[in-house]
Amino acid sequence: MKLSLVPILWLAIALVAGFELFATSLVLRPNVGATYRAYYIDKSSDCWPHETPANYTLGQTLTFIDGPGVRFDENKICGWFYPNDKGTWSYGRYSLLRFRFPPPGGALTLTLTAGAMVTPAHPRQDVAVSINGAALTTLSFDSVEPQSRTVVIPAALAAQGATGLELRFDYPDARPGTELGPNEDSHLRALRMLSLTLQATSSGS
Amino acid sequence: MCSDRADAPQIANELTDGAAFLLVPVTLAIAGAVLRYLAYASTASQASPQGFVDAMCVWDCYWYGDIVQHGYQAYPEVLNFGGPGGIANWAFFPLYPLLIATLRQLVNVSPATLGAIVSPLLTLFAVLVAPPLFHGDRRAYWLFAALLLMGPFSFYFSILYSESLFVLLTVVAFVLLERRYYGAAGIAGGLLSATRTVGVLFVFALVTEAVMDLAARPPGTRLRRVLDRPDMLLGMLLVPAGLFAFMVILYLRTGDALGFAHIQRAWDREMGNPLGFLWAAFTASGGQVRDGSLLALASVAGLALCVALAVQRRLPAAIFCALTLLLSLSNGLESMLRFVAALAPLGIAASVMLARWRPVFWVSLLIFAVLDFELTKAWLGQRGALM
Repeated sequence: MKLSLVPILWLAIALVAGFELFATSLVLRPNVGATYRAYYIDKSSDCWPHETPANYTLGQTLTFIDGPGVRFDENKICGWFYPNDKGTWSYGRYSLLRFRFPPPGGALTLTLTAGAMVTPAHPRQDVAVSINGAALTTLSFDSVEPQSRTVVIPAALAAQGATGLELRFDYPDARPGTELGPNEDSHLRALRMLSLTLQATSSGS
Repeated sequence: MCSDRADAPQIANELTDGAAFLLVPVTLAIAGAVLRYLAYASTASQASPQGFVDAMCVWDCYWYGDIVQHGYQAYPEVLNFGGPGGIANWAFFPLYPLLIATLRQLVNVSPATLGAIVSPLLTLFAVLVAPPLFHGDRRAYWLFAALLLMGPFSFYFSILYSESLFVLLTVVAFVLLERRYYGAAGIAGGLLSATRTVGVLFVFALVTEAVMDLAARPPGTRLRRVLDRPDMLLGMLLVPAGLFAFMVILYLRTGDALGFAHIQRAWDREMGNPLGFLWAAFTASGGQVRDGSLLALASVAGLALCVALAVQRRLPAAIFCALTLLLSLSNGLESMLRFVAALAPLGIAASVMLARWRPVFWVSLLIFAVLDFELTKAWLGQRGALM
């Protein structure tokens, strides 16, 4: 190597090192919104809110199974894994769905079919159901096999369907997926949803 | 700057003579392309060249095409694409799509078509510059050429995927490193780290070579050597420069310099213990990763080839490959077969071993051709292990 090259190379070292220090400094000051930071950087949230048309026809059964049928995609906000042929697992501590429909003029019945993340050590999953922030009930599931549950939505809440009805499931007992098997995703799961229907409550209920 | 190794082999003089140097790889490339087309034709109802290109463009091919056409997204997708998170194309490093986008200014064809033309050429270049890495072992070199151009995983190197560029840059970087052209190897390494996440790990190969270089000298002369050869340090700094450049691009575009890593959450990829992932795949069935045990087997084979590289006294390459595999494995088993296939030094190690016996060499060539055909069909059928 010619000696005259040496100072130039040391200068190049200083320049490259300076550039890399600058790039590293950018890591320390991300310029992102709160939702992005919570989901992707801090991982303090498991909800990446999808934009959803939320359109829904009362009485229509939405499927959470990868296959034929009307999928829940248009009503999904967040808190759901990828659908597979056995349903869709919840993702994290809560899941959200949104529905928009003409006011039904009375109460609604929510019917859902789901299996749960239960093991001999954790034999029960409680699921708190709320709509637009109002707590409705807590459902219990004790089997990995599908079980059906119904919840009555009062007329006053159901009337909000015109502007959008946000259905939330909270999972205080969610467990890591690895409890199902070591090859499973480690994220928290609680319910494996198969189907969901909102329909006008028949008279007398 | 010149080589320090007096015995450094010269390209093409020991290994190949005259026309064979070019003709054999070109013939292998054509044979590989014909085999892959026949595999496609055997599954298509109406085969056509454009249909072939389109059928081969699956999985990440769409992402590269998206980057070529629209650049990097400013924000993760808010429309529902099936999973829990918002996906974005930041997981795909810029050099390959940048190359395709640049060429597309000259030839206005679809990214998939351009990828199907450019990737095989990049792979051919990789083969043509690889001879010095074989230290005169002609048979091993031809086997390596066949492996890349007409082998089981040649479909990865013939589509709109960054694997072909990664292989080319890896070969170039190690050729330069073997000759102790640290600065030039650092530039190649910088391009490598702009091509795929794991490219930055080439810095460990460079450091290993530098340490071996210094260790071979009398103790009192080592500091002098470092001061006289600043290209050694410059090379080490240049390798991650490609990654840092991508980080700056992402920061300017998205506000998150580590967006390429953070966006992995959209694909449910969480860091974990690589050996734990392997153990789980071997000892338990099922799970979310398709063909988990096959991918675990490929990973173990890759790690075994890293040991073979070390035994063959290719320590920098062994360290680079082992770290690459372990880093990839720390994100789970998905795509491990592709990651193993794209590590050129592993192909070199395997070729050197298989080429030791002439009958094995010929049988290997035959098996390569058969697997080229069969695995292309599996790729067209989107077999999970090949993702």
